[in-house]
Amino acid sequence: MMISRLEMFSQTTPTLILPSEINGSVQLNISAIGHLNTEKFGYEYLSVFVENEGEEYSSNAVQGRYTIEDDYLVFSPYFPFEKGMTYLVRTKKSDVDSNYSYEPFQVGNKEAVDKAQVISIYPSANELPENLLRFYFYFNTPMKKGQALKHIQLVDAEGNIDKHAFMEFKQELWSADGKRLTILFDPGRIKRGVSTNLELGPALLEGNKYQLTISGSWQDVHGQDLSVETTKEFVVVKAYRQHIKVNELEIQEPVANSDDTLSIQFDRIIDHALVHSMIRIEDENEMLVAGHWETSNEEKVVQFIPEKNWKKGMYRIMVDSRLEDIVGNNLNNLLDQKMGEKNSNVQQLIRPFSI
Amino acid sequence: MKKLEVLLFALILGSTVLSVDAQVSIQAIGALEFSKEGVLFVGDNLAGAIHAIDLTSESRTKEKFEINVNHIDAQIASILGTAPQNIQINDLAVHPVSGEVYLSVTRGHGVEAMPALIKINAENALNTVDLSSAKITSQMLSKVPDISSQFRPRGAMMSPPTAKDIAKAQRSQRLYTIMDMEYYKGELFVSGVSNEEFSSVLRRMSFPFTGKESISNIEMFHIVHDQYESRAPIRSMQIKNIDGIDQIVAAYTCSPLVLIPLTELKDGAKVKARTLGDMGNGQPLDMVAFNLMGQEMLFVTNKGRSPKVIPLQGLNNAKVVNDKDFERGGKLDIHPVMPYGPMGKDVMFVGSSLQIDLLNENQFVSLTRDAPTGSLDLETLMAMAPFKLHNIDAAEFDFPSYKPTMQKGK
Repeated sequence: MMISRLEMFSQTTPTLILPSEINGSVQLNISAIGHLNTEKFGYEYLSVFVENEGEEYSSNAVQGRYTIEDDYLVFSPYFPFEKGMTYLVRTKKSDVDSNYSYEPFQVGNKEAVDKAQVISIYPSANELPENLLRFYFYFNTPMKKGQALKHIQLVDAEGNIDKHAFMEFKQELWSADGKRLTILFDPGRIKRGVSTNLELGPALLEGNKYQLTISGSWQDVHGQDLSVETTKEFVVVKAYRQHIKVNELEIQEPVANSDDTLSIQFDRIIDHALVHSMIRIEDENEMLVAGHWETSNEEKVVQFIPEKNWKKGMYRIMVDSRLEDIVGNNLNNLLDQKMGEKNSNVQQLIRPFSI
Repeated sequence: MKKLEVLLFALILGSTVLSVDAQVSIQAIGALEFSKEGVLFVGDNLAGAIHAIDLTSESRTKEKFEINVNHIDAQIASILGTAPQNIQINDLAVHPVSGEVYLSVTRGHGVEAMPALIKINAENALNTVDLSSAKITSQMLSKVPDISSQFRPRGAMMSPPTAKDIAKAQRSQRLYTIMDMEYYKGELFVSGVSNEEFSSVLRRMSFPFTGKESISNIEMFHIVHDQYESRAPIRSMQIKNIDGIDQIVAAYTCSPLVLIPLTELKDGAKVKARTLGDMGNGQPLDMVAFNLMGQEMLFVTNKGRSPKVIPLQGLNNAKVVNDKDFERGGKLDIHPVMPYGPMGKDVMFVGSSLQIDLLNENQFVSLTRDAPTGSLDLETLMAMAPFKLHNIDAAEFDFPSYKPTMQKGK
C-alpha cells in the first residue's frame, strides 16, 4: 500500500517542541544526530535568544541546563521564561548542516483583553464651576494616543461644538499605563483679560448647560473601538476664586483600635488625581500611616482608609501646598490671580489630631 | 504573602536549629566578599542570612587580562532571558585566585524578584553560576530589622517630601541589614543595621560558620551633621593595621571616616568609633585598598562626590575629633573646615563608579554609569588614573596638528 506524503508527514515526530508555560523547556529531536555531548555541543544544536531588534548586545544566548531525554535534547533555562517576551530558538539539524534555523515563541496565553470602555470621568459632579481647569478620563484598557481631541468634544445647549475649548499639546497627558487621560481647558480662556479670553470668551459660562462627548470610534491600543458614545452633561455654576483653606476643613476623626475611615470635608471639589500624592498622615514618630485615599461626595470629601487599626496617640494630616481644587487653585496661589493680590507661601499645612 | 510566611518560618527556625551548614534557600544576593582562598560570602537581606559559596576550586586561566563589557545590564538580561529594566546589579567582587569578576544580581521586581550570581571570565564571557549545585553553608543573623519597618519621610530642606522621597521612606529597613562585609584572619565582619533603636551594628562571626555571632553597636561623631550618630550604618569598610593595632576603617553617609579597633568588638558592646575626618557630604559606596608607588592607599567611591584616594599612612597618629573640636551647626561642603582631616585627594572619574574592586595590582574593575552616554559598563581602569581617555574629547592633545612644544628644563 502506498503511503501518501501527508500521512508520512503526520507520522514523523515533531522536531522542535516549544514551551507554553513560563517554567517550560525547549526540546529538539536529535534522533538523526545520534550521540551528542550535551555539555559541549548542546548550545550549538539548540539555543534560545531574547529577541531585541538588532541591538549590539543581542548575541548572548539564554543560559540554562542541557539534558537528553529519549530522543530529545532538552534546554531548561536557569530562570523562567517571561510572559509576553519574544524568544528566538536557534537550531541546527545535523553536523553537516551549516545553516541555523530560527523559530520565535512566547510563553503564557496572552491575557484576554477586556472590551474597551470609558470607566469614569472626573470631576464626577453635574455642577461644575465656570473656571474649571481639567477633566480626567479613565479607560479600562490603554487607548491609542495622539487623537484625543478628535474624539472628545464640548457641546453647548444649542448643539454648537467649541473646537478651541481644550489645550492642544504635542504630547497628550496620559498616565504611564495609558488608561488615564488629562484634558485641560485652554487657560487663556479661563484667565480674565488674557487675549483668547477676550477674543473667544470663556469656554464655560455660568448658568449654561453643556455636554462632554467621547466618540465611540476611538480605538484602544488593541484596535477595538469604544463602540458607544459616552456623554457627560453638566451645568456651570459660580467660579471658584478662593484659596483652599485647610484650617476650615471639617475632619471626622477615627476612634482608637478601630479601622475607621478618616474623612476630610472640603468646601469645594478637590482635584481627584492629586489627592493620592498630596495628602498624607504621619504618626507621632513622623512615620507614614499606611493606607490609601479615596474621594466621595463628588470629590468634596477625601477619605483615608487605614491598613491597620488606629492606635491611641497624636497624628498629623500633612497637606502639601500643591494640592489643587478643580480650577487649579492650590493652598498658596490662585490660577487666575488678580494683580496685587497676595499669595501665601507655605510648603505644607499641618492639621494635628489625637485619638 | 506566602513568601513572607516562608521567610518568617525560616527565620524562626534559623535562630534555633538551622545555624550551621543550613539548607537555607538563597532569597536575595546583595553584598559580596571573598576570602583569600576563594570562598564567596553573600549577603542575603531577605533571608537575614549570610551564605558562603565555596569557589575555592576555581583557578587562573590567564596571567593578565582586562574586563570590559559595555551595556553589562543588557548583556546580563540576555543570558537570564529577560529585559534590561529587570536587571539590578547589587555588588561586584573579584575572585582572589582566578581574577574573574562576580556580580550579584536581582532579576525582576517585587515578589517575582530572583537572585542570580554572574561570573565574567578572562575572555569577558558571562556565565550564570548554577547555585543549585554549589557547595553552600549559611549563617542566620539575629536581631534583623522587621520586614515591615520603614523610614521617616523627609523632604529636602523645608519642602514636603516628593513622591520619590516617600518611596524611599517606604523601603524596608531589612534591606540594610548587610551593608558591607570584610573577611579578616578567619572572621567575617559585617556592617549594617539591627532591629534596635541603636541600630548601627558591626557583626562578627568566625568562618567556617558556627551559628554564633557577636553584635556591637557603633556610635560616632559626625562632623558635617554636627551630632553623634548611632542609627545610620557603615556604608563601606576595610580592616587595616593602624597605630599598631587591627582596626576597621569605616566610611559613613556624608562622609565621615572613622576607626574602630577590632578588640572592642565584643557581643553587646557599645563602641565609640574614633572620627578622624570627613570627606564632605555624599554617600560612600565602596572602599578598596591598593598600592600606589609603594604606598598603601584606600580608594573610596561615593554616590555624590569624586572618588578619594586616601594614604593609609595619614591615618596613623591622626587626631581623633569630637564635638568639642568644631563650632556648632551643620556644615556644607563650602564650609571653611571642609573637607576635614587626612582625607587624601579627589581624583578624576568620568561618570559614577557604582561598584568597584581591585582586578590586579595596578587596575580596578568598575561598574560604571558612563557620563556621556548613560550606559552601564563594566570597565578596567588604571588605579593610578581611573578614567578613560575616550570620554574626554577635543582636548588640546586630540587635534591632529598637536605637537608638544614646551621643552624640558626651560
